[in-house]
Amino acid sequence: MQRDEGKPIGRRLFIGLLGAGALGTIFGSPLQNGVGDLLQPFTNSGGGGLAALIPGADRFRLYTVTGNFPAINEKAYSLTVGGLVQRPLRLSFPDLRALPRTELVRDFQCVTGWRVPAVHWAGVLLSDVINLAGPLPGAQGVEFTSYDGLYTESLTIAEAHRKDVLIAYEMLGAPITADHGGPVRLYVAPMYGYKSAKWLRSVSLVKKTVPGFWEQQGYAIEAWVGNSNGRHDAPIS
Amino acid sequence: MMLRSPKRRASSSGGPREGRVARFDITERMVHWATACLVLTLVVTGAILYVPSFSVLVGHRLTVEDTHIYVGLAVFVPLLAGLLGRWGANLRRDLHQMSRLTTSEIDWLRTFGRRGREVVSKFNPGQKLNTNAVGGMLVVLFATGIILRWGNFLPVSVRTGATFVHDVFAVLFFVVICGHISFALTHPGALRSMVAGWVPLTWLRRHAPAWSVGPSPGPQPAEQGQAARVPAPATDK
Repeated sequence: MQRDEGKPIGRRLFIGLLGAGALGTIFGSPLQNGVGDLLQPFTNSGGGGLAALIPGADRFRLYTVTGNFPAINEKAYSLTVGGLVQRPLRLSFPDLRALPRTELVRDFQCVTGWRVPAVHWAGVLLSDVINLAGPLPGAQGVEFTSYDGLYTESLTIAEAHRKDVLIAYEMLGAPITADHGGPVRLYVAPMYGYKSAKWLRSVSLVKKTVPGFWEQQGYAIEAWVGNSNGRHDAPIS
Repeated sequence: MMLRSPKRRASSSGGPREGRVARFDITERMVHWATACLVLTLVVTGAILYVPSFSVLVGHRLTVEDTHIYVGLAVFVPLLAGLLGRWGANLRRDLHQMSRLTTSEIDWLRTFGRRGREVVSKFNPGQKLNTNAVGGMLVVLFATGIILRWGNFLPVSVRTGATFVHDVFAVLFFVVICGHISFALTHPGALRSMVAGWVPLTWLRRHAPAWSVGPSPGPQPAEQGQAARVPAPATDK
């Protein structure tokens, strides 16, 4: 019996998709950046809205390693500064606001690849707080804990004295929301996002630091943007 | 290759009853539902990782991430297990049918099934394309997922491209899967064939009139060697 064998359209679709995937992987980077730039007017805020769900949009992805996003109001908030210091401190939210204010506009770069360009931050230099407490000789590192009860991070004492490392209380011109780590979080501009511990609870000067939460999962302890974790992203603006 | 013939056949699995035609054997159904469970887990965990409001709701990023990665690695295991054994004869034969569309099937597709109903066989042209689309997208998602997780050695542009492709294909995949599920829910006859394995003759006459039941490529144990008899044989088990 004569049969119309037809065309291998199904197979073409299958192979075409594989081809599109491969091409997109190899050449998709500029496309991603283009889409990101295009959508920036719509995503240039903390929340991002629906446009932020379009693949390629530059937007914050909200991470927490525990079951919730701790909600701490400004009145109840306090930051403990301790360890190898002359004067252990307990700073309230108004205490922090009363310290010299520093503003930064930097990209926020996640080690998993996403970046949010030109984010405005305001807060207190970490070094101001450390100097207020007065580090004791022998303090080599600084450890951070979070109000989520689980997250930890650390910096060397030299890194902690950089002028682009903030204890931040404002993001994009407004108080930092709980989703983004408010009311107070760390912001380590030159490093990947996982250094910037959210819901900052304590700053502790130590002789030797213990690797932080993600670092125990294999992330680099020195998290320089463009020069760690196998990534070579362009430097932060 | 397939012969036009009367519209029924004996089942190779279980005992066919009067008025029933076997459509999917136990291997095919197990592969389908095992894969469906894995894919559902991937969709849910993927959505939690991707959509900020879900991330906020669920948290536990490390657990969600690990689940997504390991379930993703396993996603082709049921299919491969089904294809590689003696038990996979029907699965191999059915998949083989998916690759080609005849001219009249293309016509059916162009008119959204209004024209050429009589040419539709065991799988309609839409089902054929769906199979290829889902398969192709899954392969791409699998490959780009591997790059995201273990591609540290690759240039960052490739990793950005892979992220972009993974995001885009995940959204497309979600749309196609939603279509698949809504077709299943609105076509109980077809759905039952994936649950119980058989379709009623009335379904076959209406939805797959050109379904040939003679020998086709690949071994078909317990299939009739000749064109099916009328009526279907009574159960012999």
